[in-house]
Amino acid sequence: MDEILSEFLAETNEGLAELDNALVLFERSPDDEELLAKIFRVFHTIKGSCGFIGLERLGGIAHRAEDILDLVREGKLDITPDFITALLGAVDRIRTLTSELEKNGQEPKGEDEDILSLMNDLAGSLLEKDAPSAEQETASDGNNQTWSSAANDFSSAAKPEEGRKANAAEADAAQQTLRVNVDLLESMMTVVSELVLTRNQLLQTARTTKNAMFNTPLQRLNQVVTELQESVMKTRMQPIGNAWSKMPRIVRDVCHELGKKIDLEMRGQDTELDRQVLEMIKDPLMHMVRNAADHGIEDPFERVKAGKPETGHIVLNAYHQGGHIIIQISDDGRGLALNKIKGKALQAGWASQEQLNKLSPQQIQQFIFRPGFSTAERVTSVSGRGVGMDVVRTNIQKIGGTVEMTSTEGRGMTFTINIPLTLAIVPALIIEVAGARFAFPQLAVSELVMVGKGTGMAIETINGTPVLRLRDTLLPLIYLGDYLKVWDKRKEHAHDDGELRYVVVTRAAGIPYGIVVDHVLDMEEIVVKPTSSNLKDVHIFSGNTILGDGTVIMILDPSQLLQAANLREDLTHQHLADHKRLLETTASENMLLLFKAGDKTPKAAPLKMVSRLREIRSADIELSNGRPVLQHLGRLMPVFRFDDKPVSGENAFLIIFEHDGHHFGLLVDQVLDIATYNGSLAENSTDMLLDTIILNQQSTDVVNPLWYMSSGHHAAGDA
Amino acid sequence: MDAAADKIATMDGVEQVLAVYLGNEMFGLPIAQMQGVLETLPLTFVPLAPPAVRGVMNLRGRIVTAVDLRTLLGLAERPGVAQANMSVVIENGGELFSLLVDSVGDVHTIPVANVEEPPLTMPESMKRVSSGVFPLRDRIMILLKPSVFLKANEE
Repeated sequence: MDEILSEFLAETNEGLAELDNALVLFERSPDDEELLAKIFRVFHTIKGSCGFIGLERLGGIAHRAEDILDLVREGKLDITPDFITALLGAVDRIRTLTSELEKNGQEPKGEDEDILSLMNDLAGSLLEKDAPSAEQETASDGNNQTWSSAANDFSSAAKPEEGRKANAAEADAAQQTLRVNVDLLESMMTVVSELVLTRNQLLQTARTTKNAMFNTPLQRLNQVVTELQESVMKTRMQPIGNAWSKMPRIVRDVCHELGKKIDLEMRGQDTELDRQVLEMIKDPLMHMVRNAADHGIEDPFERVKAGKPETGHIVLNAYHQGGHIIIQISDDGRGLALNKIKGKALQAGWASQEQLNKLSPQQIQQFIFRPGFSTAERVTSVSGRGVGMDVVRTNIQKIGGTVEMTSTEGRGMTFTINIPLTLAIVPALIIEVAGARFAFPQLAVSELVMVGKGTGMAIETINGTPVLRLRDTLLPLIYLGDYLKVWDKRKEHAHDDGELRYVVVTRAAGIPYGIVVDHVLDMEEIVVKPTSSNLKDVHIFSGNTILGDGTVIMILDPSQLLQAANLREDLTHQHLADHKRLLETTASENMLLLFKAGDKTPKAAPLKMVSRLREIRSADIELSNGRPVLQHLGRLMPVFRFDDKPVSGENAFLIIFEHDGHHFGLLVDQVLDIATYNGSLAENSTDMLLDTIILNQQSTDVVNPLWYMSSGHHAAGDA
Repeated sequence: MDAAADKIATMDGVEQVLAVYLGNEMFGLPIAQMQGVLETLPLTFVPLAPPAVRGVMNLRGRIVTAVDLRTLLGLAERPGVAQANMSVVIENGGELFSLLVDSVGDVHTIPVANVEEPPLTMPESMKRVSSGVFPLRDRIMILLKPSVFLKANEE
């Protein structure tokens, strides 16, 4: 593509981005002459350049737009929504044409009569007599006048003094900024990253080889490289306003189509973030604003009925916080309708009515992130195209961000997006499995747990699935070595050898899980580089990088690991529920509670029946209908003595058993210990003793708690 | 990129190729795409990668994918435990690849007119990645097209 054309495209695209906004603003304040001048200037420049390069279709549209704007300037035409719509239509067509031009290097063939006649109709008879003179102007523009003089031409004509001032300012700005190819910036970034890594290597070497001669220049190099890195990072930063430029237009279109009134407020447009991140959030943001306008804000009638102002309000807000950028999208619309979401969840089979009843409103709101979610009653041309919030969330998670929301039904809702400032340099955990090192994005790590000998934490296996009991949750585990097939060949693949290992606790797609690794070595700032085309099918690596010591390391992708390990959300929940039950039973299956009571033979009772142990005051035992009872958990619970001997002393030990939801207590002399018995015990016995077993080289009587319950004759009434 | 490389290489009707050896076979790689010849650097093993990918390495700050030319061409594994100790770094599609070979020979300047069609008896897999054969005085060199054999691995 020749240089003039690419220059034209760049300038035109910039102009078009401004136009969308300017036109929407102009609709609201039609008396703003400066705005009119700006709009006029953009069309004028496009027209001028088109004549120069010989682009007939583009030139024709721009020319006609300029003509009717001229009528407005002369006060012959009023600004109406139709007028703005016609101009926006022209902008859209110009955009289509320029994108074609960019692809093919020439204007596509076709007619623009639809767009042109729309503008003609507005002008009516006014345009006819002006047309010839405007035609001449184009010709002279095309042949003799340059870009800036064309712009100059208009502004000086409209407002001589201001025009000149504005021009001077523009010229200054032009000298201050420079258009640079993005590829060049990218390669600069790469080179600087290399420089940073090389410097790190140098510094490491300098520390070990005490050669004072290098120290001073190295210090200097260190500073310069840091500065260079910072400024190159800055060149990649763009104000978030760039991603928002289309928002006013989107909101306007929704208003127009659905007869709503919406104010869009944008705060913190100047907040800067890496252009790569910007590109990634552009579409999700657009989708969310469109959602807010279409589904969130009610129509004026409904709003007034709900006691709200007729005009809805959408606020876009961006600001820095820590190394992150926070973007908020809030509206004062109807919020999320919980009942509708419940209905959808039921209909889609995501949850049963019973499950739904147990969920908190926040949990129910989370359903909007499910693939296929839409409560929109109708599909409008602006929303309901099947791209849902799940895609939004996935895209944001891809760049290490999170989405949260708060919603009050009838009052509106707020989405809060938290994303990293840059993707170029990220902190990563360096982990090791069987001698192989991998990088794991630190943003995804919620905690690190050491397991194995002497840590008090152990990996357990249920139905072949490794899990970790972490506080009160069961965490499904993935052995990274198993998955990557990089186990140390010299060792057996034993997982339960009790060796010290680390569990990296992370979360992907809302599911917490743990990754078992041999070592966690270090935390390092890494420069993410895409993997080679040969490795693009190995999805679990999101990229690779060069560490400070010069070795290449692969970067793991947490969400892909989870997918690869086949731990899908619903599956996981179901399995874990089963596992938890299993775990509870296995844990206490053959565990016995040892106690002293009656004669000297140690006594034992199955631990699985024990609900709790209490030390009570003997005086607390009361009588009810002649039977001893004790208040327990706000109820009266029967209490039994082990044998006929009355309770001596002020205090007594009570073992509380639970059976079929009933509690009962057994008075004993002393509680000793818990032990595991590796044999089987008789079940459903009706005797007082289940069995007599040998435990710790002593014969032990295993009592049957149910016997007391059923016979009830050894009451502790005389205590 | 590839088109441009081809153009330069065939300027004046000659092409410069580097002879590399795999077992007893001699292959020619176009000099135009070449970034250097070096002894194999320490490799980082990549789990789950295609068989031809032997790992990744750091070449002056750029990450290079090391691929075994024997595996790529469907030849027998290198006998014994012997590691390939030479690698030829080529650029293809904006990426760097290090081709592991048994040994490296001379650079030959060959007149394009003398390049012959691959013989009919050549295995199909070899024919696909070859741009022709060139008879040297005492033996025959098979000319390779990196853009093709590197792609073959992806499928």
